[in-house]
Amino acid sequence: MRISTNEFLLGSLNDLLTQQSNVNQLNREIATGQTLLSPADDPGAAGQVVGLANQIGQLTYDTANGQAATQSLQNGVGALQQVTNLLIQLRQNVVSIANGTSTPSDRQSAIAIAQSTLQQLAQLANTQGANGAYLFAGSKSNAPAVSTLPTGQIVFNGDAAANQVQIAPSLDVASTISGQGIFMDIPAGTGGVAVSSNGANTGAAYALAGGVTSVSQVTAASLAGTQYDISFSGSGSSLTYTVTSGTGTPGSVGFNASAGIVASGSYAPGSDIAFAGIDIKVNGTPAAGDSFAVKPGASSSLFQTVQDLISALQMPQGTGAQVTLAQQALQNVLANLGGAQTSVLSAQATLGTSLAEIQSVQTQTGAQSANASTEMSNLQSANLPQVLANYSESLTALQAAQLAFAKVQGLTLFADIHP
Amino acid sequence: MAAYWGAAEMTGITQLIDTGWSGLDAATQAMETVSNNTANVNTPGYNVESVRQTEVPGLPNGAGLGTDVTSIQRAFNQFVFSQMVGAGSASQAAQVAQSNAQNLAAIFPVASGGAGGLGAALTGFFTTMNAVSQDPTSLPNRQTFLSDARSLAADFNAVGGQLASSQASLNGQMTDAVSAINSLTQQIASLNKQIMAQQGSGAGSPNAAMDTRDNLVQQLGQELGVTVSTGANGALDIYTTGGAVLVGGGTSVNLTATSGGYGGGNLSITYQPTGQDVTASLSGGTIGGIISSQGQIAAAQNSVGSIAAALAASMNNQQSLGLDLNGAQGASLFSVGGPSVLAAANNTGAGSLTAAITDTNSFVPGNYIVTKTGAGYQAVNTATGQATSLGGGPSLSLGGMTLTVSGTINTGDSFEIEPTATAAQTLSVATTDPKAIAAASAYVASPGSNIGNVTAGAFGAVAGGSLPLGTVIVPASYFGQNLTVKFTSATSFNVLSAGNAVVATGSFSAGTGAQVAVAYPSPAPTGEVAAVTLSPGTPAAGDTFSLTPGGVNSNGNILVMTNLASQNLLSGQTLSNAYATLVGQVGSAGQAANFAATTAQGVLTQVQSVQQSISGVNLDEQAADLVNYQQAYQAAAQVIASAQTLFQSLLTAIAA
Repeated sequence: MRISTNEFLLGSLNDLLTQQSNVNQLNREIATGQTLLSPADDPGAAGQVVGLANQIGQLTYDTANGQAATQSLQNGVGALQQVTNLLIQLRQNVVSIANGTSTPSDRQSAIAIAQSTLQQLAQLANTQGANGAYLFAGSKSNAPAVSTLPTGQIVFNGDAAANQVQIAPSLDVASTISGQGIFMDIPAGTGGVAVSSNGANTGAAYALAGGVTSVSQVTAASLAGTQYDISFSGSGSSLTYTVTSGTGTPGSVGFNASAGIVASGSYAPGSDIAFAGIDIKVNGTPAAGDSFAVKPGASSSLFQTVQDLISALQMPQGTGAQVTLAQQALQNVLANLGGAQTSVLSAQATLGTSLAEIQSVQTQTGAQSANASTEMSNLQSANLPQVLANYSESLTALQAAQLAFAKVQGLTLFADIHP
Repeated sequence: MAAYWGAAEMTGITQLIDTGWSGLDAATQAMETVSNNTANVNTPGYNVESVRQTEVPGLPNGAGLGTDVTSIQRAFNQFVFSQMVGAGSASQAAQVAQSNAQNLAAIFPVASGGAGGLGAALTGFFTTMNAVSQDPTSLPNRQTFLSDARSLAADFNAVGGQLASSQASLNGQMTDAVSAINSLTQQIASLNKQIMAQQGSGAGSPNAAMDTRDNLVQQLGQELGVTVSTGANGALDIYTTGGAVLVGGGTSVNLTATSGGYGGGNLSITYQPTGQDVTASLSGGTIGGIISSQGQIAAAQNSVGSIAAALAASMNNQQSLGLDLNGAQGASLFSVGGPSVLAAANNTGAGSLTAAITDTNSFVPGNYIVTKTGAGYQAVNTATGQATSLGGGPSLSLGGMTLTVSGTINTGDSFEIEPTATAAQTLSVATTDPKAIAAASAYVASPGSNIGNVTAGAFGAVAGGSLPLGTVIVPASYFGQNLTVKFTSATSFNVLSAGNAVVATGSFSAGTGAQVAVAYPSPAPTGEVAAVTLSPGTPAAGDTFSLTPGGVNSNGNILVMTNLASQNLLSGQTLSNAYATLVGQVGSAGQAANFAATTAQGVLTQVQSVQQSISGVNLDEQAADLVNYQQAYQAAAQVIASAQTLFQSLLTAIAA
């Protein structure tokens, strides 16, 4: 084909420019280490990179959430561990007083211990996190969780809110736990059944809630507000007991023995009295006319229990009857302390479960995040050996094009004819 | 001269001299042509010329009377030329589109590790929001989150601004191209006039004028795709691809760049004689490239704007469902411009149309033309051309938007709706107070010293209509008060106000429990309530749950807000995925533009090489021609010298 001189030169020039553009692109890839310099280079990969960057961002903040939650949970676990320790010490103290013959000075020192324990428990309930927030106050963390009223009663000021944080895509765990469930409203006695002796009792017997044989019966009774009165009559081997059920507090004027007698029989000291799913142990020998009130569904706060302990230790122990009353009060405190320990331990277990969950999830999110990073790098990063090989190829081609241009430029017939 | 030789009836020596002379003359003219060809070797639009010689016939049975140069012709092929104009147009359009697509892609960078750009800003926004959920009481955390919200808004503004300036720059390019077109068509028409005059008078082929004009036609093709047809006496008639006459013989017609019938951001092109908007029928050249880029930039503006609008709507919505650090219902976090509605300039009714995006998740980015027809309103998507019937109004529903008609709109009146064209530019953070972030749940339920085993969960915001029939919903007027749920029996409960007045009574089932809700006041979405579930179980009469507004450490609402990062908020996509889709679309458009430009360039090179093989100057060829004609000249001169010798011999013989 006939070729014009202009095209001959322009064609060579275009080839030269194309080669230069290739070299330039490869140059940029080498300089930045990336093949994906503009979304137009690989639209699919560009969209994926945006998605992966977002995924990595989410996993990063999930991880940060897990770390923050771990710190908050560990603060909580630490405080609760101290509460447990205090309760164990207190309980040992009470047990030793309740079991032996205690001297007034023993009781005085026990009172001092109980008072300081009460103070420490209130302080622990008001534990603050690194940010100054009260850990156990629920959502109202800007005010102390508990405070002491002028009457000496310790009350809870927070709410039942527990915060959650996201530690993995669509997985939230609790990062705080409210003190309401831990310190307040703890079922009293054994299985929520509280026993108290009538202040006018003259015998040497105190009663304990031995256990609950029918939870449903006890629940039904507590829902209905039913309470029981155990009263004794006769003496010696003819001692009998009568259990009367009704509403209102037994032994008080308001007691209404609506359901009448639910159980009765002869009483042998140390034997159990069972009725309506409840098992009551009476220790010692009651006198005729002595009575005990049994209340299902009672609850008490941890602080109230310790205050009850102080009151029990302060009870006069002049007469045998007074010793028995004090013994009854101490036994009730022991039962309530057991319930409190269970409540604190189960809260510790809840926090521990969250901690374990965070730990296992974090390993997983770490791996996911690493995968996403690798995938992103595969999409974006230049394969340097390959790019360098292409680069040297392109350079050679560029040099060849330059050489060809120089040769073409020298080709002209005018140089050779001499008309 | 030719006539003189042609009429000669000479024979012998005189004829010999005249014939030799004609050869000399033809060789001179041929060498002049070679000289002209070599001089114009680099002249754009020059077509190589050559002399056309014919023999001058002699007497019957006698020798011919020499040679005659009948014309100097340019090597030109109309078909190839038209192809070259078309290929030049297509290539220019592709190049303009490519360069604009590259600029567009640069607005959505893909930096190492996904850093930079809106995607990273969105992720950063949700990251610092999470820090607030970790510790809602921390003012520094809230401050950081607010700063990130501001920088996210600034990034949206920057992208919106870059897109708007791209649009403005396209408008500038269009104005320039239109004035270039008008000037070119005028010059072509005036050259047409000269050529027609010269051809008509039979004064020979006006090669230079034709070369110049054809070169101008080629330049015109660079600005706008045209079709060319040969008219009378060598004139060229030029039409737009849509068939409108630009040059007809010696007259030309102007185009104008104007803001379109709705006065939107993009310029349109009108045909001056009729005043008609012909933009849609134009293609090719700079103009064609601009028109396709306008569509891409508008699409990017709409998409990024819809992300901004969905972000603002969902965040503001969630804000209104929680409590800020002062315990008040959350106020809007972002403010963003709503849809713009542009009335057509030729509307006859005085009525107007307003538009609002009411559901971002069913909203699809795009501009619409809404026209009142005899059968009600009709919307046409400007990008896809898809038409939707909207009914008679006054409230119309269109793809997640609600349009409201006010006043009288006449049949035939139309409006352009640009729902999110400016949203990215107008996004801003509405508060400077870090306490204004509504992190807390509206309410927290705390049990009293209850005997029964019913428990309360956490409060959550739900649509009131989704709750079981008969659910107690406390009116919004009580929102923010301390409320108490108090069981009056195992199957019924009262909700008490802060003043212990019974505000509602509900029933409770041991098997399914119950739900209690408090209605949100405005600006929360209508019907939205804060609801809590009371677990199945048996309550005792007198059992209570106190419902108190979430305290400073409550993170219930911000937890939901952070989860919005993985919720489908826009057209069934998460915000991040919507952005990834946008980047993918911009990238695909850029890639397609690159391919198109390479292809168009290839076609052009091919056609150019065909054209050059016909019309280009080859210097080697010219050198050979030069040698050839030089030899012819020398030979003709030798003939005259021989004739002179013969004549001299004759004179000498006579004298002797």
